[in-house]
Amino acid sequence: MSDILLEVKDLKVNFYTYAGVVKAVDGVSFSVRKGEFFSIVGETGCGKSVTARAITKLIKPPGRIVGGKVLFEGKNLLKLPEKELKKIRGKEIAYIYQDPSSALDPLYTVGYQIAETVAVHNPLIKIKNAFTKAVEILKEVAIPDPVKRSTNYPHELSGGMKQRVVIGIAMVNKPKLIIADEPTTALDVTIQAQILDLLKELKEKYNTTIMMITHNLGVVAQVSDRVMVMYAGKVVEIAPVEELFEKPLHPYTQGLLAAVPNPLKKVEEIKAIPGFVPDMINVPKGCRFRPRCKFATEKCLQQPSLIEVEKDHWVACWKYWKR
Amino acid sequence: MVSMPRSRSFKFLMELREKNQARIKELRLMYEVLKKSPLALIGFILVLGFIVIGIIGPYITPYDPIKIDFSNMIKERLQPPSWKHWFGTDEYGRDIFSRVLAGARISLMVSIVVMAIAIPIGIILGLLAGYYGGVVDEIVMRITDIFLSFPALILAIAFSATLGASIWSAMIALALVWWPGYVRVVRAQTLSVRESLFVEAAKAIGVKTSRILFRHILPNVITPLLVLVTLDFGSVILTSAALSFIGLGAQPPTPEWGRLVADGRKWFPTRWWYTFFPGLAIFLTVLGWNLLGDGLRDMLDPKFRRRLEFRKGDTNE
Amino acid sequence: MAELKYYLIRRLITFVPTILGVLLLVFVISHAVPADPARLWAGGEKAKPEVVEMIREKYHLNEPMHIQFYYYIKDLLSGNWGESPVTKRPILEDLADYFPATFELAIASTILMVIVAIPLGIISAFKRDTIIDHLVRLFALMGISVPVFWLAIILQWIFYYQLGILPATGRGIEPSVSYTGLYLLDSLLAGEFDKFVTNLSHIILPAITLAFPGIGVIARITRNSVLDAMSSEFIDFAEARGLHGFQFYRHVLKNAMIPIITVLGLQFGFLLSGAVITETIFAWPGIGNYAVKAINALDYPAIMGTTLLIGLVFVIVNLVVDVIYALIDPRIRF
Repeated sequence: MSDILLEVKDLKVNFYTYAGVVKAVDGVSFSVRKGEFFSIVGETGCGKSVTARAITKLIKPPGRIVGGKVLFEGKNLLKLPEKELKKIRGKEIAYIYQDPSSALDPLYTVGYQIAETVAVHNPLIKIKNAFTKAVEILKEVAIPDPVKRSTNYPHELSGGMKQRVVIGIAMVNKPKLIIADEPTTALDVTIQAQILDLLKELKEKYNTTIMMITHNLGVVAQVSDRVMVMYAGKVVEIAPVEELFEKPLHPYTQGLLAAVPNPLKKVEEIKAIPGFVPDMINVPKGCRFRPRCKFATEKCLQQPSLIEVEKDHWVACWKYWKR
Repeated sequence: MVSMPRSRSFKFLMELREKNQARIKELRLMYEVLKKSPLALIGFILVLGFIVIGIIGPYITPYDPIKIDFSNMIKERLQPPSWKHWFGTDEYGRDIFSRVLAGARISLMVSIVVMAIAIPIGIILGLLAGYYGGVVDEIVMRITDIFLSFPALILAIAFSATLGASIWSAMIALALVWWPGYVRVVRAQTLSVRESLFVEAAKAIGVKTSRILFRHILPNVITPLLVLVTLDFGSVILTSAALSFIGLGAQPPTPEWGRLVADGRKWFPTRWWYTFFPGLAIFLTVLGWNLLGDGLRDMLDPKFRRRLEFRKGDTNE
Repeated sequence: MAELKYYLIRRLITFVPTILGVLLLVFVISHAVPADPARLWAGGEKAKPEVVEMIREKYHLNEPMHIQFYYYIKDLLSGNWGESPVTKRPILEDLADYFPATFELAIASTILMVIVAIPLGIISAFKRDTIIDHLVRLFALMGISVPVFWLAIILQWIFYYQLGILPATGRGIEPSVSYTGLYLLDSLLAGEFDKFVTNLSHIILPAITLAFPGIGVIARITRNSVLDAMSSEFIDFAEARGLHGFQFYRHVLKNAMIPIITVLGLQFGFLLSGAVITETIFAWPGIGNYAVKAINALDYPAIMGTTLLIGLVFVIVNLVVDVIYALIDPRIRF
């Protein structure tokens, strides 16, 4: 399929701690299509951020990628030498980090940090000359008085402004894929909406693809085309956004939607999912949601794989297997 | 009837254990650190050796460390190390090994006296400055800053020279120089504890200020202070040796280590042992305190602690 | 850059009370602590009564303390730092003669400290928890544990008495012209390269001795600040932006510089106090040597003059550190 930009196959990432091995990402597969807004949702610690960082091998010890493939335009990134990956990071695949106050180096002006991101990927451009580019991109991300702002240090800007700068850094090399890891979590609610609008607007303008990681279903509903739900290091469901909110199939997704005011439906009673997120060192056998699932059967002691229940709607649950 | 008192004492022991649970945990952790880090263990052994020699040193010297045996002086003077005199002899025929052993007590005494003066001053001023803030804080901290705007040795030299060259004036001088460091640490720690819930609660139910300061805040200040004090034991010994070396501090015939190095220097390099062994004693003692202090710092570092606790949880299961 | 200017002005204003504090402390030690200051200043027990009386008169020692402090400051500002009963010269003149040697030694030690300790710390950070890291740690702890006077003697023994490759004492040969008072610099400026080599060979052992304790301290702080910087989110993000090589490491190193500079400033103070001992052993004609001679000759005004000078230099060095700090870190300019 030519419209697939990124394909992740059976990705496995382990963290080796003193208490034992944490299988943070355990056999995750999905694909992102060109030009779409793809979201990954899940609770804290479900492996969504680790998945995002593993795509360009940004996993540091004690973590290690132990298996799988990441095909980006057909190339397996996990097999590429570090030198080649450095050319891809920030150029072909750009990241937006969660907390803009800690993502920017406090000792350099924001203009410099944008300019160096340009220069490092274009050997012909010197950092000094890239400053015009920095001012242009600041204008793109709707920062007022970009010429003056480019000479500001991060601490002189507000949180929302800083996140705009981070988005600017991500956009400046016109990447094919932007991975936004909780881009709005650290921001005020009012600013969140602005940042999401900006992301969407820039995505259309540059005709790029966005993969967003979030734990906020409201944010997912606002911008996504397709959504992937993760639980305890596994994919449980992948579906177009309307499908997912209207017809969630996996018991976990259903619980998740019941636990928050559904943004696409009338507000009903809010129910918490019983039980706790499993201990990631001693994970439950079979389906990881089994101990908390009211539909659990004998069958669930085996891990179900993803099946396409309806067109484009995938779920990993025995309930939907036709026996 | 017989079992009664035993069970009572058992109960008492259990209660004691319960009351001091935090402290016991602390000691366990310390034991873990010593087990895991060979450097800290070496430090611990060196310090223990120093303290033991400091206490019993003068009683176990093979020869008199101070008295000069004039009848044998000519024959015995400046002898190289041998089975008879492990560290050789000085220009008066005295056994340097005996003098080094006796010197441990002086270094131990100096460091304890200096700490015994400096720590209470530091704690009281630090608690007051941190707890009351405002003008009290301002005054205490300005005075502290003035003291800290001199290198320690220089200020100790100035005080010591003013008070006259003797071991006592050196101790007073060192105490005067050392308290500001403790004020800083205690104040910083007090500031962070002051706002905590248990202090607020104690204040709300009308606990006396002195009780809040010493029963509620002080215990939380002690731990970080402990690391600093351990490291400072080494620095005080080093600085007092330096004072003696330049002629302030201990006067002859006191077998103070810094003094011994200075005396031996006159005979260097042909009679190298005279200056080498006392210097080695200083070096090993200070190294011991520093290795131990460094290990303690690791122990209090949350990152390191977590690692240790993780490991422990691992083996228990 | 406007903020920087305001920051500097503010910092200079707070500098005045600091200097006053230094003066006050030295005043208290010299005027208030001794039972009989005039006698002490005149040389102690052996001083002649008429000299004691003259000093009492000259320095207004019969006046109340605050008046004495006024005269003390006034005298200091007009360059009258007292007179040495031993050399019979004004203290300030003596200090001016001896200070350049100490300054030269301290600079040489600082350079040595920086070029040895910072790379050592960086290696230690990149090889953390390996044997190299542990060795650097042990080396650092040994550095702060070794008595400087003992180390000096051992170095002399190895490099002078045994190997015979470096001189044990002295500062070398005075260059024929004196621009700065620093022998190394002056001999270069005068084009006297043979003298430069001689003087360089003389400064090596004292500089190593003086730098040794600091090397360990700086190496450790470098290691820890590099590790801190490496674990920060913006370094992660820098990697995610595709930065590499120098472009990447400049972010790590510049951020790690901030604590290193602070500790370097503090170390300079220890260099000055270490100089008192080092200079004595290497017969280096600096203020440390001068102070120890003064201690042994009961030359009290000289001791207090040296104390004051070192206090002032230390305070000024810390001011310079704060300025460098502000140049590196835009956050503290406010």
